[in-house]
Amino acid sequence: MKRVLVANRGEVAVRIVRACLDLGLEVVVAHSEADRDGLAVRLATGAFCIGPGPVAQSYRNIPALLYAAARVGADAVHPGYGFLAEDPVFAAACEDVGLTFIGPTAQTIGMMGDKIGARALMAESGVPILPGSPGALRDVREARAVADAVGYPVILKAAAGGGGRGIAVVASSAGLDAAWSEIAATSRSLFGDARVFLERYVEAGRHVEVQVLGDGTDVMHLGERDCSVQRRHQKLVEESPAPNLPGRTVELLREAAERGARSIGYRSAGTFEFVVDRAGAPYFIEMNTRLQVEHPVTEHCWDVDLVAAMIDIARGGRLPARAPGPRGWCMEARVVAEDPARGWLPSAGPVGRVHLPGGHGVRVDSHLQSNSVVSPLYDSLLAKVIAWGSTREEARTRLLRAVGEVEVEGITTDTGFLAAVLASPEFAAGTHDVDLAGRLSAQLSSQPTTARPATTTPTTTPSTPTHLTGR
Amino acid sequence: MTDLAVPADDVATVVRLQPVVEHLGRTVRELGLQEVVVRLGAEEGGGARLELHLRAGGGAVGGPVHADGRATPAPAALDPSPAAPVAEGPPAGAPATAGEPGAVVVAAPLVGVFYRRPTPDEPVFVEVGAEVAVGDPIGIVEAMKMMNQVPATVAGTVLAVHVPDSEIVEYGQSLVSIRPHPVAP
Repeated sequence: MKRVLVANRGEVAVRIVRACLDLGLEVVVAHSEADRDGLAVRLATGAFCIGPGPVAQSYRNIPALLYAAARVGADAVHPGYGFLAEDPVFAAACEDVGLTFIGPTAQTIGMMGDKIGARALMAESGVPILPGSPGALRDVREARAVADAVGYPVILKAAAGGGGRGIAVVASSAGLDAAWSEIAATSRSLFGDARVFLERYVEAGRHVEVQVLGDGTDVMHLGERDCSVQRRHQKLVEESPAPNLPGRTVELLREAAERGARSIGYRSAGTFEFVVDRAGAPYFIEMNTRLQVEHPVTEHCWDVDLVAAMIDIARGGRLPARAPGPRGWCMEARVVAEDPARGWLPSAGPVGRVHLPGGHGVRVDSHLQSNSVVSPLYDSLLAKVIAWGSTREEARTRLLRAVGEVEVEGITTDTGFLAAVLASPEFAAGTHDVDLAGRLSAQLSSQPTTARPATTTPTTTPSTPTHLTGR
Repeated sequence: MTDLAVPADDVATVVRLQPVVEHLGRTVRELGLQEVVVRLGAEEGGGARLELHLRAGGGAVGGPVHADGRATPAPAALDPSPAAPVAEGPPAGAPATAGEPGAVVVAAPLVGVFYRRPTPDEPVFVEVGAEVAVGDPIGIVEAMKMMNQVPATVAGTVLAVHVPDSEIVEYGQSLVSIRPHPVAP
């Protein structure tokens, strides 16, 4: 492997470019017209414009990416996350033209991308799953029968869903019809796969996931991440290890993830997502066959560069030696271009001055540059602020300080909300669950004058510059 | 005129402005301009106004252009500072057209393989010095076995062919430069 093509944008493209350069590899960024002046393009060895801004014509354009790889002489492709990272067609196309796909095999991606198949496969391997429908539901009548059997609340899921889309929680039988119509429709339109299944819903559960690495023969876990701070199933704050988990739960989680990964001969970095109920029992939700946004918290606790490990495994290397871990505590907060006080309305547009935090124990993964544009065409993630410390409290205090340093002139971000989460008594005690962000968000919109963090100014224009900070 | 008064989180407005700015970016490349000044603002009575000052060599060659909210949004660099140049000269991959500031560059409309001939046995579509009319094919970009003819966007004389036959081109890459015929006043 000599030259890697990055088939992604934003902070993850920057992350991959840096890892490649650290490994002495050349790296070329395939970018859209909109990202011509992006940070990843600036830092890379080379760049290739694959199309106009809209993702269907650029970042999801498989032929353009294959032409790009041929033109720049790349022998490997890193898909990042999102876009084509979990598209078995892209992985297979790369394999077909002799490009090394830095990730799992197309077959694995296809298998785990089908949530119904993955659930059945994991159950077969002895990984705990929630009671629910054994396969796709035929109609709402069958959904009702299964829901009655497992007990409400239940959750309806699209077989091909992901990224927090195509799921609906149903509190009681009265809401089932409406939820069924909604999910059946979105499954078809969003994912082109109308199959829907159902599981018991775990109330006040925690979202805990286990990072795994496999080389096709051996597998290893790299501990847990708690991602319970979520708004509409979108993660906002993640940490490793997971706080206040019973030792027995940790063992069960790690054992289940390794068993699941081994059963499919997993290659590359992957994540097993679980919901943990109040009794500490973990249940498999899904497996992500890619690099995860929140991978840095694992990297610091286990002293491993996950992107470098993926590249190494893709070129035939074995698993890295596992450092004794976890060491200390690590937390990540996602700075997004959205306005929590206005129902998380996207806040795209021109950006003036940018200041990103630093200092001991702080890492920032971001593509944000001063005097640039945040395009409404792409994901709202602007920066990941990562802090670590020898204890959870040290990491939390440091992250709170670092998030407060963020300044993005011209658009509104969620840094004020992130600070409110980090400062909340439940989060500080590590006793929060998946409802915390929703509760704080609801307070924000019902009492805008008191609940809104004091310095989160709603709207600014370049003619009246205001620094948006979370202090 | 008030400077940029569009709220930065007014997504609808930003999306409407993007095609205009993208068009501007294309103009910069195609005309080989030295500098472009953008002024965004509000008119008396509430209308939005976008002024583009295009500078080739020393003098301004373009007056104000109004935002018209055309077709598909496609983003481009939009500098919030009203006096800053948005882009300068042709981008990498678009070689300067030998001191021809008025030359029009025909760019690749998609990623694919550039062919100078309709079929391997036929003569090239255009050579340097050829006269072309608007719509005359200057080459083909093949993607997924589909042949996409690339038309001349202006009538004139071919100044340069920038890409050798059978080479993969990126989106927006300069294919040929044309010196436009003078337009009757």
